[in-house]
Amino acid sequence: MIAELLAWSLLTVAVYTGARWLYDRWRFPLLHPMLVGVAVLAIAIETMGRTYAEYRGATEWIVWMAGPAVVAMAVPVYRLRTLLRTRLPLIATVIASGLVFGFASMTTLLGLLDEPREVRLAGPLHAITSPVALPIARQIGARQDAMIVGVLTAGLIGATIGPALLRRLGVADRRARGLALGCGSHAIGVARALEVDSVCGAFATLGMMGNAILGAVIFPYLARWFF
Amino acid sequence: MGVSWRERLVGKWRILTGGMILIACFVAGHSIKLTLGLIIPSGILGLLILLGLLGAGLLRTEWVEDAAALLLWLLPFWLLPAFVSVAEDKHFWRDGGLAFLGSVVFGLLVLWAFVGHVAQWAFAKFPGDAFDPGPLTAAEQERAAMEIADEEIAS
Repeated sequence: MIAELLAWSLLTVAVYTGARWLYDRWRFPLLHPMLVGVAVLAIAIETMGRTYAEYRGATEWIVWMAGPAVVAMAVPVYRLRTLLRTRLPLIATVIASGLVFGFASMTTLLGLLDEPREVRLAGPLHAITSPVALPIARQIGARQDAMIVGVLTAGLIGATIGPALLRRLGVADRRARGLALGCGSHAIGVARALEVDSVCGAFATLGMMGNAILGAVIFPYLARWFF
Repeated sequence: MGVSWRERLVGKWRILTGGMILIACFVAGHSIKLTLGLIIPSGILGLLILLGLLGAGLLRTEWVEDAAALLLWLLPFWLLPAFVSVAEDKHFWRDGGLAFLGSVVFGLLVLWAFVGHVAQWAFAKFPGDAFDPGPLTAAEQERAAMEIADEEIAS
């Protein structure tokens, strides 16, 4: 039992370290440590003839640490308190309307495609940062693998074509661009927004954090009312 | 001149104590969730507790910032085991995966357009934040950007 826990944990550390090194070396979105790490670990589990349940059981402590990491997000939010003090009602209203709009549009679209309930619920979670989206998915009974693919896809699109596409969509204000990137493409989008400029980055950070906090409060109730 | 062993030790101590504070906030959030039967994730409740403590001045940012930066830098690592399960059900991806993926891309574009335009309209209608031309100097903006870059969410 302990040997299994150690072996899987060490393998995860080794795979992540390698994937991180690769990403830091090339800085290419498709080499994101999450994508490379998932691919390598899945291949390792399959080739060793082990089950995903065994792997998840042995590495549960790693996932538990995502909880304190969510708490750690309070620090960047607190750093932006001056901006928040002046703009909180406006930013919160924009984010909350985006959440409700995103939930309604995605569940309707997936409903038209005749997707089952758990997939319809996973769709709108693509806009929420993964450490928060994961417990919400568990809470509302959304399909976790679909949610994960949604989160990764939204992040990658935001990192590659996000800012340029937003300009094309007629969003000229860099604060609005930042908020949209943060609300749609979470952490990976924030990293891209920070590369664009500091103002865009600050609003993207607020967008992501606000989306996570408000989404965690709003989504479970929306799921209860809509389904 | 390099960092002395004493400074390194202090840095590690700070990460350790900061990490304990973050874990304590998470556990407190989890207890509140269980006690009150809330459907909000424990991490978010812990985040709100930490924000409250920082805002009330009961905790200082310096006590938790190093640990927070480390935990956030390692965020993809904490989630990696949960994300691996994406490869578990190949049947789902063979049958309806592409339709789902297409819906996510479409939904994202619609969401960007909605949030971007609503925010743009709102900022124009209600001016007055620090990033409007005026109150914040270029140096202040630069400093704010540096602070945010330091806190870049590693994910």
